[in-house]
Amino acid sequence: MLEIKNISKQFGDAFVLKGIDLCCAEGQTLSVLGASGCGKTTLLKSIAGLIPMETGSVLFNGQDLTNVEPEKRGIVYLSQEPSLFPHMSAFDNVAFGLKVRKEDASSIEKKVTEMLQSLGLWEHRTKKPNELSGGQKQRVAFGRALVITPKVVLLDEPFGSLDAGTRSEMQAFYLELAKMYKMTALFITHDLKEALVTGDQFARMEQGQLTLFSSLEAFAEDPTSGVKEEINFWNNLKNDAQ
Amino acid sequence: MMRKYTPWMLMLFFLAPILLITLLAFSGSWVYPSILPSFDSDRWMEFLGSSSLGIKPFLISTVLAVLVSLLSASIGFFTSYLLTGKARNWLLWLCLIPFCTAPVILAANFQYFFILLHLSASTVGVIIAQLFIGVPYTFLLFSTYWNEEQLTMDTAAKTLGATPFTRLLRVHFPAAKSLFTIAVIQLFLFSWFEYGMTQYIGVGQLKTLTVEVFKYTQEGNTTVAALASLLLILPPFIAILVIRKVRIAHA
Amino acid sequence: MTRTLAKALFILFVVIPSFLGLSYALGVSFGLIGLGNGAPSFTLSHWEVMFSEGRLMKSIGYTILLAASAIAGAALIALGLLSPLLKRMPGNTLPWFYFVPLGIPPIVAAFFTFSALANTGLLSRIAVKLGMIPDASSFPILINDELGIGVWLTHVMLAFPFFLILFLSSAKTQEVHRLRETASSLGASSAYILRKVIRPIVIRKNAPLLIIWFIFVLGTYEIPLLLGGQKIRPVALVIIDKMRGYSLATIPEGYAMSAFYAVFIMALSFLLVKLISRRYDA
Repeated sequence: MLEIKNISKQFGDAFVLKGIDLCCAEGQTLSVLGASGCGKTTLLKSIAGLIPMETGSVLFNGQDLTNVEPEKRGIVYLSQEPSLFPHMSAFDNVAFGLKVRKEDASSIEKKVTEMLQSLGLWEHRTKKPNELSGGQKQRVAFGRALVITPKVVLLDEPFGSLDAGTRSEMQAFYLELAKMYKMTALFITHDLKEALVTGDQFARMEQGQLTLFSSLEAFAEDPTSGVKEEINFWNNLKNDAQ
Repeated sequence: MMRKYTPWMLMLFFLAPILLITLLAFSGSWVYPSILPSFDSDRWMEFLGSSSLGIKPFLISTVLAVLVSLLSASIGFFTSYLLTGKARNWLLWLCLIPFCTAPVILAANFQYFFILLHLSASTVGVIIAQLFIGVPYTFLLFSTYWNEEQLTMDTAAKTLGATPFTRLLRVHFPAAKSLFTIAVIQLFLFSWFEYGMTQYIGVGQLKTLTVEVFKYTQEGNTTVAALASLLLILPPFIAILVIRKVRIAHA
Repeated sequence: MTRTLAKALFILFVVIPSFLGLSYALGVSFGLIGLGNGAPSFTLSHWEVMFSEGRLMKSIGYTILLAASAIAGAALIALGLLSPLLKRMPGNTLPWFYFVPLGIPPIVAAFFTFSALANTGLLSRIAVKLGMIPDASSFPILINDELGIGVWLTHVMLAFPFFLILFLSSAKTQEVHRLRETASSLGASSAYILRKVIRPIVIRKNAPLLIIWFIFVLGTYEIPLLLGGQKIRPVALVIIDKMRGYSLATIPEGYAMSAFYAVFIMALSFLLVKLISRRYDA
């Protein structure tokens, strides 16, 4: 289980994160809905150890990771940009983390092959990032992250730069992967539907503060989540048409 | 009419120094007022055969330029990657300082410390002095390279478990290979052609090809100066002939 | 750990040489470091001598004039060649010989100028053969002359091929291409487009590089050492002469000059950079 306790972060005088607590059960995805500028990227980067935080701690299954260096945390951060290494093929990109961990060649070969097959990218394995489409690039980025079996995956608007069609395809794909690899993940998005589709648990972030909901119903009931507004919009549209 | 011949005239003008120098290099004597010098191949053989005249300075210059270019480019690349952050603009201004004065004056200013450290009149001393130009140059050259895209790539590699050293070697170096090559070529030429600093720190003890060309020209020893000049422009000239056509804009 | 190493290397190769060099020069010039001063004690006399002698100021003035006129000359030649070359350049590649001058170092350029323009040089010989002059002594003095014509010509010769490549490549960019199309669709002739569209853009785009080259020429050393006159000399030569002076007494003045010159160029570059960025913003 991932536990975040009382994380605060200040830039100058402004508090970007104000004492955030959250927990996410193993193998589950916590969807966090938040508009841009609410501090979600800062939250994820603090959890990954990429930026220092003023107070707070990060625990995984009771183990305190707060002072562990980002490269040793086993927490992978995925951003909107797939950030693939441009000089490496899709295969080598996925293999990167395993090579860094000095795994032996045959095991790397096997793991990467399995990963690329499950991502539906096997026939593109020799292609360089500039020969792949936006969706394919993001799949490679997922594969690169998951193949090292990280403790936690942090997703920062991962489908933000994709077109609407590819985006919903990738959401379905994400669900499959999350189930298959029993991912423990924080999935941050500003898109309500995406949050509903991808999450097992739900939270809302606003001005550096985070509200956790005990269930989907509680999330839907909350006026700030926007679920009610959305339902009303469609109902009104239906009524107008009739 | 004139316009039609412009490219040809340019070609003649651009090649004129090489043509005249080659002509003089193979000459025995150039008696006034004959336009063409008399040909004497023995001088050429004599020059190449004599270790103190031709080959030795060529080797010294080569070793010096290879070391200075590779070291400066590597140190500059390494430091520019790791020293990012709020102080970056200050660091860039600091890197500009060495270029605000002539290299020879820069050398004169720190010569005192070089004498104290027994670096004056030594090859190591000249290499270090040239690094004082080469490292800030590479740092400046790479300053625009570390943009948002490179930094997110760095973050990705970091959370995947790569240490700074692995990231530099496996991720950034291959990606920056072409800019790195440009830096190495430019720094090679800088060191290969450098006179003032080399002469000042080397105190005339380190006889690079450039130092020799200067000496022969000043002595009025035209033939030997021409031979040494020819050796000096040989490496860049070969490189240009190999590359042949250079793309100057992206269509 | 790795970051500490990077910091150490940066300090060693960038911070120390700049600051140690400059502080040493300042220290000697103010008499704080004993060097032909006897016991170290603070004095302004070396700076006073430097300013009252006026040699440095004259030399700085001359060097700026030399550098600015050489850059202007080289840029004008390159601009003049832009139109005939652009017409004959359908693609975006330049043939190899354009790059040959980039591989010629200042010292070899100076040697070439010497061999071509000295009164027993190639041009003088051609002039005699054509019957234009009777002998070497009638050929105009272009080398080691008081105005530094040989020095100026060598700098123009070094700079203009480089500027030509820069200008051609800026004129061939997509952006300029689009502007050319727009101008011609608005009815401008190709000569007019060259004058009013291409040339101003090309100069503006390359202004920072022209300034870098200008500063490089300001520091010129080996070219005037070989080809320059004795009366007025560029600033690097004047400073090195003083520093290496046979009388110990002139050395601190040399360091005062070196410190003043470094600060002067820093201020000048800063000013030029500001000036350009303002013009860019406008």
